[in-house]
Amino acid sequence: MTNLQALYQQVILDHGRNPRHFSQPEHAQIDQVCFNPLCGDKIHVYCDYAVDRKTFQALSFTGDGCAISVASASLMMVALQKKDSAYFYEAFDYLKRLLAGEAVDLSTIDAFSAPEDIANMRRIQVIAGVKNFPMRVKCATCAWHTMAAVVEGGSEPIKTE
Amino acid sequence: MKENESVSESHIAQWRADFPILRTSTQSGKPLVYLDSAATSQKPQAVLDALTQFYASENANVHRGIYGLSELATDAYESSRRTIAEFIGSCYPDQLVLTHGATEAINMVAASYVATVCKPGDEILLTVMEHHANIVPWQMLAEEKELIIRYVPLDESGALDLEAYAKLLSDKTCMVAFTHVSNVLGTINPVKTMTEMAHAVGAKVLIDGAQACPQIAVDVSLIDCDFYVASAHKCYAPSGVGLLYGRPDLLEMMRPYQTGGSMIETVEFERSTFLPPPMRFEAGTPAIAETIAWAAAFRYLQSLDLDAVRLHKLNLQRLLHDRLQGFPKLKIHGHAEKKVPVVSFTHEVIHPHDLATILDSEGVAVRAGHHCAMPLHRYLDVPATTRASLSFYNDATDIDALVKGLEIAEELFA
Repeated sequence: MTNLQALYQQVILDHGRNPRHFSQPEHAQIDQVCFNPLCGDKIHVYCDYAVDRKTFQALSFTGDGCAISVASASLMMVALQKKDSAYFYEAFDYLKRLLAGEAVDLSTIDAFSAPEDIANMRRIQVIAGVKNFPMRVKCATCAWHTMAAVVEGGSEPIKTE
Repeated sequence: MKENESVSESHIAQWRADFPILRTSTQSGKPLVYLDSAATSQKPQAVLDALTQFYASENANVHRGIYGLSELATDAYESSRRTIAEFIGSCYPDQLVLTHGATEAINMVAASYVATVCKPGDEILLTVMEHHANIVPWQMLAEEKELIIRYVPLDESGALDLEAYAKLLSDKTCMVAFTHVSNVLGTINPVKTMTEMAHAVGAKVLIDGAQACPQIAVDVSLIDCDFYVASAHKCYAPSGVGLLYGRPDLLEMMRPYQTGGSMIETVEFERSTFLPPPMRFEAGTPAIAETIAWAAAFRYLQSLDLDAVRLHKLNLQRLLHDRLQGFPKLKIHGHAEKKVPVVSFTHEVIHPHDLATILDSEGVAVRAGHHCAMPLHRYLDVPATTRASLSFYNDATDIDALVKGLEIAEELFA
């Protein structure tokens, strides 16, 4: 498999074309936008917390972007439904380790114990194909940085460059 | 040479051979196919040699030393100014300010000329196809001086709507600033007519020649504009140098933009007096070697068969359009009658960034994004485009490589 094929795998093309949880709610507690001034891409993440103020009760996104940024956002959405901020940080850390080229053993991460979590994280592995394309890493992490801003309670637009 | 005549293969092969970078390969192991000349041009051997020669045997600061080497450097620098002045048809070198680029030149006119003559409520007329460099300095000035900015729209083809332009011009217009050639659409604007129309209402005219200078013959005295700006790095020369051509009476009334060494006449503890233009606007040590290499780029261009170059670029532009029109899912933005070989397009399915990555894997360097023209992209209602911009050192095989890359991308995203 070439680097290009490793990047544009079926999972990426599928989620890029048919992003999951791609909708704008009428009212969202948090509407966090990420804008990349270099390319013009824009992603909104909408989040409602449950009464415990930790669990993501409703989580969705909209935006314009390349296949990588939209697919990465979509895969993140699938993985984070009904999860909480601690779980998000675990998942983001996992993605960062993959992007750094690390071969991560999923069974060593306690947070990913349910079969569904493992399946979601396996799909996220595909995003790591972007590590061979340094200029595109920001596309892959755009939604994740937006989500980090959501969790940190920010409302100012964030930028990736 | 007549239209539809082809340019000899040996001509094209020689031009390509003059640019060493075209013999290199990309990280993907494929030969470099450079289709991003609108971002920056590649540099011929003559320019590389001029840089080396200056540093190897002529390097000294200019306008300072008494010793022979400094005189040599000063002569080389000032004779380069004359060469550059001739290239844009400005006969008098003292009308030519050497800047750090077209961007600095526009900022200079905004801060040192327009800021001193405009009144609150005056209008600055720009066009929707401007590069950020010809928008943002005016926005800053407008905010400071309470000016109003208006924009000339486009027609369906991507040419400026001259009827709308005529209506937007009024006795309130103090400055009209527009690009000679669009960096996104490739459109060549009717700059002479537009200048006449602006002058008829008493407005001054600045033309952004960043994209025109490397592509078409420019003669500022024929256009009769008040200011003209360009950048060396797009004209086959090094980065870090640009030019501001100004009408002598306007340059004379302009206050210094930056101050320091080189631009003063006398400095006392209490006050200073300044040199006349162009030195008044050239504070500090200039980009000496780069300026000398810019003149070398112009001499190199003059040594070419310019009719053949013109025809070759016209043929490339037509071929590029024809080949891209073979992709039904691809939309070209900009079909003006007069244009340079710069084509921006969008694809129904594939985002420009994905396309640029896939093309890169084939060795093809294109630009994807908004090309420093966000307002134009909003006007066209697209977040980003892919741009292929060609120069005379490109040939039909480069367009073949682009087409092949597009086919691979469509297959991958099918």
